[in-house]
Amino acid sequence: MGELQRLACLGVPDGGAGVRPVVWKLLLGYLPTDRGLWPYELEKKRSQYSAYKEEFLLNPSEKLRRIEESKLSRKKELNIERIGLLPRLEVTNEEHPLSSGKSSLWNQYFQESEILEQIDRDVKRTHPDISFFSAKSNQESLRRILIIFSKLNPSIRYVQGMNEVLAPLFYVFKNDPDPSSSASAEADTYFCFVELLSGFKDNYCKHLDNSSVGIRSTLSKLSQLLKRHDEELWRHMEVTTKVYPQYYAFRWITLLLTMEFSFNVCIHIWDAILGDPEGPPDTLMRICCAMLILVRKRLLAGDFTANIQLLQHYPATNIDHLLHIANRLRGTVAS
Amino acid sequence: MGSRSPGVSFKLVLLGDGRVGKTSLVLRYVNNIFSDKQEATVQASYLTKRLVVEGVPITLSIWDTAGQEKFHALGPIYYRDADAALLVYDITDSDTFVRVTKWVKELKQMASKDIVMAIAANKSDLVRLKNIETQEAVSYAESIGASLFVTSAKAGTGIDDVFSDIAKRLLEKRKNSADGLSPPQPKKGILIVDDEPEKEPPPKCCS
Repeated sequence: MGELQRLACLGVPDGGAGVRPVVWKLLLGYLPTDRGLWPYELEKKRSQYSAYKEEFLLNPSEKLRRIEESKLSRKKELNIERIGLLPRLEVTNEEHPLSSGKSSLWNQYFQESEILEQIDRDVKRTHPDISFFSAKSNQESLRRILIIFSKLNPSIRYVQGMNEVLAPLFYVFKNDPDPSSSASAEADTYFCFVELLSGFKDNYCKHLDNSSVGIRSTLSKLSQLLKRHDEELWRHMEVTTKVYPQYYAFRWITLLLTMEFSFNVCIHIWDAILGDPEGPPDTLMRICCAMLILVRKRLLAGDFTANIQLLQHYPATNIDHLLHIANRLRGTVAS
Repeated sequence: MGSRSPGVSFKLVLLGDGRVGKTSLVLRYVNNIFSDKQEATVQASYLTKRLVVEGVPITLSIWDTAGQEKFHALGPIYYRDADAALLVYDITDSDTFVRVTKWVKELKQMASKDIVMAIAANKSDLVRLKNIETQEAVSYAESIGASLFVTSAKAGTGIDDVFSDIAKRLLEKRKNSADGLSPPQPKKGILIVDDEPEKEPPPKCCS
């Protein structure tokens, strides 16, 4: 595993065997290291995902219809001789669409519709320039994953931008040359997304914003890291020009750099983020710090406006060099 | 970049619910571009625009903020010392108008006392789907001393007007305070409608 991490940090090769999907699944701990366990583990996870789809994606009338159906079939078995009577769908008062009862399936359904609409809109706006993401079936997969995630994580639900974090995972797994893996890409992506976010989800929790684990403290960690490695640059940024990390690194961190570089470059950076033995959160922090150091000359010459605009539109850059700088900061992220 | 801009500079913040078109408005204003597939803003972006009002060169520093509720807590840093706020709602979605009224309450408590406010009734190209009566919005704007503009980032209408109105009022305010005069009375609400981009279609027979 250590060897795999070391190799992944150097970048997973794009061509040839198409190993990235398997590598990412291993690095995220979705696949166990013992290869003999893969078929069992995958089977278990994929059927669990099917169960989630059943549970969370049917609309209430479909759910009720299924409940009734099973009741009816039981009744049919009991009263097999009473043919001729039309079965009537029994809708209890509680389950009427216009009922305002709290436990009404419809009530929950309407409350959630706002989030569903938001997910829907954002999924449609995910990398509109890449044809893979315009395909209806792929958009449907992203949508289902985000809906299921939002239902299973009621404290976070859906935060705008999650679609961007989801996109690289789904893209890599769906393009797996192994057809059986590609066919199950949606389920695999769901669990890998959950794994990946486990290290980051406090950043998404509004009620943790001011806590020691929320986004603000993550941003100040970056500030401390910069101060430790390049105090001159830190002073120029935060004291002289008052360009605080909140202004530029909020998006770097919450979206795991997906919006700062082109999609392919981002996938290379993710090889390092997922592969680094220090774990994704600390690795991301070092890469962010390296991004600042890499453009330090321009930053030191810039004022507030110039610096914010530079960092909000980060210039195309040599990724190997960036990762090399990030590597040199190893072992220094404050906990 | 990097050089000090001449003339006066003001800080403006855009506020409003998610997907009402804040980013589209500001991108149309600053770069004259529009995309139907504008991605969601998760981090306030910073843009600048230079313009000349009554012979005075002005630089507007514009913070285009994120609309989703999750990002609300990070909002004060952007409006705390803003000179002006542009509040945006979507004419097809009445909830977004309610959100504007909430923002105004928050600004009154937290922002500078004499912040200049304007409201943009955006997406006027979708007038067929209109859900909020413009007159209602105008009365509201009047009640808070803001001006209201009907805009469409898509059609590119009303946008220069709203920003230059803000700039004019800011300049006026600065002149008055420089002259040591008492601040001007709050302006009456005004409605400025650019060319109607789309005529309201005659009611269809639908009985």
